[in-house]
Amino acid sequence: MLSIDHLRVSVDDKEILKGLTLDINPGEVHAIMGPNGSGKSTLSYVLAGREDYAVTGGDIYLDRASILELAPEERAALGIFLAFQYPVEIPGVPTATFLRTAMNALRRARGQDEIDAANFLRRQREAAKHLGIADDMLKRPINVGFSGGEKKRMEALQMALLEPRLVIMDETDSGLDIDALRIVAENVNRLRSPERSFLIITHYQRLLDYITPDHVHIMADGRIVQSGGADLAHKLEAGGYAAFGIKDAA
Amino acid sequence: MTAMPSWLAKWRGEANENAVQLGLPSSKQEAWKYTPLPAAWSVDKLRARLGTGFTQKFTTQIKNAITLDFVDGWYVKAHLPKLPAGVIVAPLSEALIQNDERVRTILGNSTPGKTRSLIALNLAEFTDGILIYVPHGVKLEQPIFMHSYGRADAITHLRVLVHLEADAEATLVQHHTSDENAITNIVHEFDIGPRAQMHHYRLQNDVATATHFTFTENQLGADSVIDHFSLTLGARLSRHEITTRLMGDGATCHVNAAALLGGTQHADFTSIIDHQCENGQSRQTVKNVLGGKSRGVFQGKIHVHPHAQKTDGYQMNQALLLSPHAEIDAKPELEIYADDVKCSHGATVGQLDETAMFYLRSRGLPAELARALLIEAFLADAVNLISQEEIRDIFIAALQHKQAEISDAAGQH
Repeated sequence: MLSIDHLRVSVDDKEILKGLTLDINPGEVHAIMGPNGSGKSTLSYVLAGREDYAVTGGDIYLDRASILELAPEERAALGIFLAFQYPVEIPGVPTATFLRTAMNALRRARGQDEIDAANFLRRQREAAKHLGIADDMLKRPINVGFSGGEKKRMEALQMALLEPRLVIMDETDSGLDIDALRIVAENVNRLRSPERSFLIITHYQRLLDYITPDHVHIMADGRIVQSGGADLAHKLEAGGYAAFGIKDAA
Repeated sequence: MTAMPSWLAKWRGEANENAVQLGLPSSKQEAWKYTPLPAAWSVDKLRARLGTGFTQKFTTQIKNAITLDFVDGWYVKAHLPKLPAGVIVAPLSEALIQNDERVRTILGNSTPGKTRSLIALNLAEFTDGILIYVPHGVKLEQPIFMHSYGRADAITHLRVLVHLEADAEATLVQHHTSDENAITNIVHEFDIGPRAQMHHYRLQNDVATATHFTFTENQLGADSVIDHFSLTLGARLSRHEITTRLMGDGATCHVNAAALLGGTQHADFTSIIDHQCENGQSRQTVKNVLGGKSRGVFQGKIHVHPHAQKTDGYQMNQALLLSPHAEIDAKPELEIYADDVKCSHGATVGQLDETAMFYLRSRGLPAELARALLIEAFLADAVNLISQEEIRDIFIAALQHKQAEISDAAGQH
């Protein structure tokens, strides 16, 4: 489904990704673990189409077609969803209005009929219930005044409603208490399907206690340096990055 | 004007001399520093004049509203449902035929425009307008909807006189539209009695080649409230000069404005809030969204007199620049002579938040939709101050229409 081929990316003339290669098949859950500064967040932004990054080499393919020239909204229409490490606060836009606008924009782009108000409310309520999101939170402006945990649950709600095929989770576990972590992980497990793939980017192993990945990759200095199964995360947890000869700034 | 009482003829003669003597304001004057008028213009060139072309049909979406329609400054039709006893809502021309003393009283009390030529010219030239009078304790539930339309090349001078007696309440909604090169000069006088409440919402949606001058003089009695909101979307050149005098203890004013401009539009909002008495409260939120090569001007003065103790003033001015060629000139001015007051003000100038844009687009919103949503959100805390929902909806619809225009223009580059 997703194929990252020798991707090189620079920010302000500094090379961050230095020939990263990764293949994700439908239904697979991949975890990328790496120390701070290894380029994890850059990878997630580049996949979602953020403009401040210069791709200097390599390519990204979704279903064998390059997505490098596509705008963020076009990538979203193809089914790419990025759960942000720091979800953005947008005063003045009620969350529910935004959710419905986004759902309908995606449905239009995907050639589907728009969802009507009643169906939207039903689906929103259902998804919100799983995540312990109260109605009044949906009336408030997007992420404004939400706690760290509330913001991550709101990302999970969007993930559930927008029906992506490829979910990228950027350090979702940072700033989460154990209860919120469990809720967010359960959401992922509920959404796992043979068609939907996940790329979980994380510094620590703890999120992987709740979501069992099919593949684990260790990233350092802009490249994947080692790949393995779920047990690789446990080895990393036991020995730290140093056991793999990687310096961790954190 | 067809029939005119002799006192008015005399006043108009004097006002005319005054206007000619003063000449049009120049950008050499401090108050007009940011808003130069075309050099070729003179007082004589701005005299009332009929326009050409067809008259646009306009409809009021508000059910049961009292409506008065004007073309080129002349009253054309009205829908005046049965009003509560004593309430007067009438075209000024009719009130003058009746020789209604109130017209003389309000005009006589008003700022005569001794120093402001456009106000003097308006007095000399006004062809019509509205008289609104609400007696003691009467709350007029239906909004009064005024639509003024200037045909191509018309020069419109209108006068709006409003007097609410103690404990009265009324809502005036104005909608201005025009065709090519129309010029409008409208002067409002609001005399708000003790504990009375006035809601005044105006939407200036002229064509992009038009010119629009507005003057508003608010006088507030004790514990009265005026709730003002101006939305500027149209005209090449516009200026709204609004003076609010809190003349009784405990008066409250909301003097809010928003503008959404593109192309080479220039819109000036100049406000003076004059706290003359104790326990007055003023609230002001002014928002400008500027695209293309447009320019927004905000001059906001809050004057607190020595005996206006316990004054509570708040002013916020924010601008969003959508293009590197747009410009905002903001001049907040606080003059405080009392020692026990609370006055705060703030000003910000920014661009659309790129991170927010990326966030919305990553959720599938096309760039134009994401931009529109962020602009609407930026303007929301000014527009949402319109408390009546059906009126607010009219303003939001006009905003959305204008926004689509601006993003079409941006898309062509």
